[in-house]
Amino acid sequence: MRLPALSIGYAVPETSFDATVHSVFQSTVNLTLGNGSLIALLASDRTDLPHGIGLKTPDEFSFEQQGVVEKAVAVCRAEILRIAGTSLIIDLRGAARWQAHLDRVFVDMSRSESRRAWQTAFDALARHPETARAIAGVALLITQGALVDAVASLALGAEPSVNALMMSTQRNDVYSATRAARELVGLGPGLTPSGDDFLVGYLAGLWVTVGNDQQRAEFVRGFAGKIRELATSANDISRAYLVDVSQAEVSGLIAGLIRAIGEETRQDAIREAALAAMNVGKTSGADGVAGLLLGLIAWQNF
Amino acid sequence: MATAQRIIPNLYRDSVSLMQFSEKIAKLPGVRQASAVMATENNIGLLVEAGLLASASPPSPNDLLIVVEAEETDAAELALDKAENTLKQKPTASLDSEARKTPPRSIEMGLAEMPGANLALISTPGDYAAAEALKALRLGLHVMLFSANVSVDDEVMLKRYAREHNLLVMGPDCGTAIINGAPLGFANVVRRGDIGIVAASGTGLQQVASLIHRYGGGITQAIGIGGHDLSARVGGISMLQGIDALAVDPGTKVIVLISKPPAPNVMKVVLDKAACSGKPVVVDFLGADPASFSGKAIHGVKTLEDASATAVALAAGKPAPNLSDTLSPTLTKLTGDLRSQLAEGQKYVRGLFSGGTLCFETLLLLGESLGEVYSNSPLQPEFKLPDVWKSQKHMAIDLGDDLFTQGRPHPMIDFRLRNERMAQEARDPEVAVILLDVVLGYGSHMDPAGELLPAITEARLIAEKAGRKIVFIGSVCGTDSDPQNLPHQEQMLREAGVHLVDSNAKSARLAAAIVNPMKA
Repeated sequence: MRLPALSIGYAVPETSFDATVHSVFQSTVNLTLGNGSLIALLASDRTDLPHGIGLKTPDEFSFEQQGVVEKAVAVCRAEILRIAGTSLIIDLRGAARWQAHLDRVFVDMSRSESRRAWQTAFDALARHPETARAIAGVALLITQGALVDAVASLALGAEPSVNALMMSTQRNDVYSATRAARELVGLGPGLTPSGDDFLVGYLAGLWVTVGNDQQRAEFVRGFAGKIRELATSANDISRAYLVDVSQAEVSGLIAGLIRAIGEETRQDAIREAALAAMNVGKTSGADGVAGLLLGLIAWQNF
Repeated sequence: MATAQRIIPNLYRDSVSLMQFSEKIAKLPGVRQASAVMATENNIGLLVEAGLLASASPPSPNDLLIVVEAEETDAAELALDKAENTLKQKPTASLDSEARKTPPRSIEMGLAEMPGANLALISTPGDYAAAEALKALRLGLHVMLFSANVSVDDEVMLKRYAREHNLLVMGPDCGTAIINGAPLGFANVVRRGDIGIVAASGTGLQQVASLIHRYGGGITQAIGIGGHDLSARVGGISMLQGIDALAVDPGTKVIVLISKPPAPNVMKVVLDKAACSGKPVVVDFLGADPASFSGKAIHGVKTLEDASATAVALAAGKPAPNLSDTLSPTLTKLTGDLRSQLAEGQKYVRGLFSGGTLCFETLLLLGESLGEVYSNSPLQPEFKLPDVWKSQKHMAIDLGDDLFTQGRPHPMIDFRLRNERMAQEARDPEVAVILLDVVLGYGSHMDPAGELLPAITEARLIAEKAGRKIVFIGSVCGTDSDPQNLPHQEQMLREAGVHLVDSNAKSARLAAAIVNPMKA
């Protein structure tokens, strides 16, 4: 079966490479490269990823049904990727390179339009059924300033760390921010634990609110470096996302929500972008959006 | 209340599945709560705080940690067993994936089975070979094109495409290569060493590689380039790429080039490239005067045997040996002995060859001594056999030529034609010497001596009945590592009365000396 690639994340090697299958899901196959990093093959229903290859797949396509197995050899030569033991031919020729480049994006949260957009996204988060189950619930605790019933104990437990993280950010204190982040890495349920997803969103929010402020820029670069170090204690899949965001790269859905908050005026479009970003995994989406929204306002008097 | 835990290493399940799974396990009889989380440091800490883990264990973020709290230990363990079994179940592959069990029928299907392959060996009728080769190149593969009858236009197209994409085309009509120790096509088992070969000649490559092995050396790569690569139209594309590759290969100390003389402009380009390789290069342009192209880094030689001896010496850091055209004292004495057995009128040499280059080298060496030597592929057009099925005067024929192989396997595999011809030569009262090459290695017949013996015996009897003796001279092109058992092959041939020497060049010179008293 030939699967053309539609987009290739910047972290995917440009030259021929060898890999082994790390993990197989319905819409995703993770491959481990020789240097230990992951790249992901993504079916059509998945968003672009910095370390991903977005494919055009038929309706109801499932990698699991294609006989892809863990530890199988995968080889890319002359932009044709094959996985041993399957008839899959993944054709990378002609696919566009994709990159979020958050370090070149600025969302001016002092604008009323941005704040209004932020509120729309936040309202969507508050109403999302998974928010309460995970660290995302912290966003409700912190911004609403009151104990919210049925927020998971996880969120309650993480609240001090998230508070510390935001206060450290306001002080541009890399050391304290790192200490707070360390308490969140690997925390919570999910293949990519809630804490990891939250940190990805949070750092993404910081990247796009640096503006011309040199101190903030220095803080974000320093903190990003520390996140990259902390990523070594995350699992392989989470690590890929944490390393991506440490280099100002995120998924297409998070990048889309950032763009919507910064540029979009139609509230329904913003809401749609928020819902799309939250609709990832069980709680991963909500955790990421929660982190993003808190990151966007970390330096603001909001 | 009892708690139990289990770690499942490197198990990746999506979050939705994990959540559903936890809820399912929590509903099992006697189970109060269940949790499936990645075994990160913070999650372990959480579970310890929650009293679900007695103590913190070393974190392993890629492992799945299942914790069950139940009324009794048995219930907890049962729940864990069920949890593990459930998690390890994978969806069955669909019927479509049955396609992968079909034996590959195309290069793409083959790549699906072996995605790490980087070379395609193509042996199809010539009409289709170029298209298949292009498919392979477009898939990022190097190509060994065993097929013959590929047009020069197609060869140029393929080689230019390959060059642009940093790929190599070996061929068309490339029957022999040894790449990274893997014998391809007709190839001998040769010791790995530090001599690299680029050859526009199958049996030429085999002879040189085998002699290098016999002389104690070894090879890094033996790259075949096909018989037309050094023509003016093709321009030596693959030869030049081969030289470049060996020049930068850290394992190659000496480079050997083998072919018939290239087109003049191509020869210059090739020699210039060789001279800039930074390594000593031994060049055997069979039929060309070695002195005309020898230089500082270029060691021109005359024969395949000379190429091997020179390469081995240079690789060992020794100076190039002094090469001689004359027979050794032992062979000189043998010459006299064998000549004395001939009857009046027996004066001609008849060479029956399976290797094209071995035949060509023999024509050169016989021609030096004997003048006119006829062939189906002669050195000069006036010595072309009017009828390839009828011998005349001195003659050496290449039985691997298309004329003889239409509808037949190659003479290295099928000896019938050579055996029939041997009997025919034995009936000719003017035949003194029958020259044979015996080529071992992968692709060749597993017992060439066994195939030849009855024919040699029959030919000998035919001659003896007529009061004559025929001198059989041969050389075995192969190594002691070849599958045919070289010592046994040589023993069988000697017992049948074949006088064996260790190279094709010596074989030709011995034959010439027997029939030419002036050369004794």
